[in-house]
Amino acid sequence: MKISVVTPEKKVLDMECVSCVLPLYDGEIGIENNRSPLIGRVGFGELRIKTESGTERYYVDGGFVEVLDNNISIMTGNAIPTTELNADEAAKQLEDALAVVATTDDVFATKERKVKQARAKLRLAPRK
Amino acid sequence: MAKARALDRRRKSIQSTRKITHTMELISTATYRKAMDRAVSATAYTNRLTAMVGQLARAGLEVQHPLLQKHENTENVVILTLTSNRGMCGGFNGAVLRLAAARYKELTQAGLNITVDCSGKRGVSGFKFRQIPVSESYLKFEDKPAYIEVEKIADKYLDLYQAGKLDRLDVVYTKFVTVSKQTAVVETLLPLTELASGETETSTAHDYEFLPSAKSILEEVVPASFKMKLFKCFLDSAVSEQIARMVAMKSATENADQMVKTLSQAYNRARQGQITGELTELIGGVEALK
Repeated sequence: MKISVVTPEKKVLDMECVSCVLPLYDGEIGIENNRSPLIGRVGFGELRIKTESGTERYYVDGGFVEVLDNNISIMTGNAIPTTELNADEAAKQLEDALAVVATTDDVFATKERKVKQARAKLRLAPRK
Repeated sequence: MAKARALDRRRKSIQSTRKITHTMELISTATYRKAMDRAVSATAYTNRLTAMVGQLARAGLEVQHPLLQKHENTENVVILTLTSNRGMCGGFNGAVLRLAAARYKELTQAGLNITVDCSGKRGVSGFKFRQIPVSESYLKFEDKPAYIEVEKIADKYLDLYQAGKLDRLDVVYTKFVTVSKQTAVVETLLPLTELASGETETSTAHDYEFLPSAKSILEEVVPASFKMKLFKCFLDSAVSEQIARMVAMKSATENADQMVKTLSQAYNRARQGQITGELTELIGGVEALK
């Protein structure tokens, strides 16, 4: 099974994998060999890719996933290996996002997105 | 000796200018390669997105979204102009600015309410010279525009459009066609005209499972596709700027070489003339003493 992750700026990875788990809008989904075709909305959270040699972990930042003929392609705004996440920065983002007073739907949507992003980052960032 | 010395001084000054232009040419060649790589990787994302929209359309979903709908009256138009922060790139900024100014004039005559936004110092000063007010200027985009930054701008326009405060967004930028051809163009990004750029793949329609639903995915795809388009404009502009600078600096270096050559000839002739002159004077003096 092949997996590729692309962001608008670069192709993050393109490799073979055994299975993978990725965050959808409402929870995680696991994808194994010969999964039926799927198009889904990706949430904020951890993408775990199981390969022959071990597991790779990335933080993905929303977007879409398409599964077809044993090809998983993930289009996301940003994909960062979890080891490179910074807990302090994420905590600050969460604090800032929570401090915003949402008066309109748009602001509320932005706030919610930022809070979700920050919480996911905080959860995945390596502990000291 | 005065003339020969002046010529020599000029030659030296041109030689040092040549060194500068040559270095700039080399630098822009390197940055161009990097910018080009980024533009190519962005294409991978765009292609995937387009393919997905194609699949959504094939799933029998009518593509409808507020961003795809033209507002009834077009009153408020934003012209976003993408220029460079630095000069020394030939006609790159001039071409874009001329086009933007022409569009501005045309729309003002049509009685529309126009806001001009501009990225790049050159553009800002160019508009100032043309006495066109710039309401928003973005100066931090260099040869590597970051998606996060572009996304912020895109979000701003999306909000304005959905709130009905913006009816059309025109982007004036230099489109990268091939390495040897870049043209300044005006592109209307809002309302979005097409999502899947008319591709008619004959591949069999797959029975996709949509999570949560095709409609909800479409709602996400449309803004993402707009952001991507805007980002592509920035990338194209960055690549074109480097190419323009490369070409401009190459011809500047060649011109400097040519000038050094002619000046060297003139200098040698002047020097020769002076020596001959001095010799004749000497011989004349000796003759007179006899």
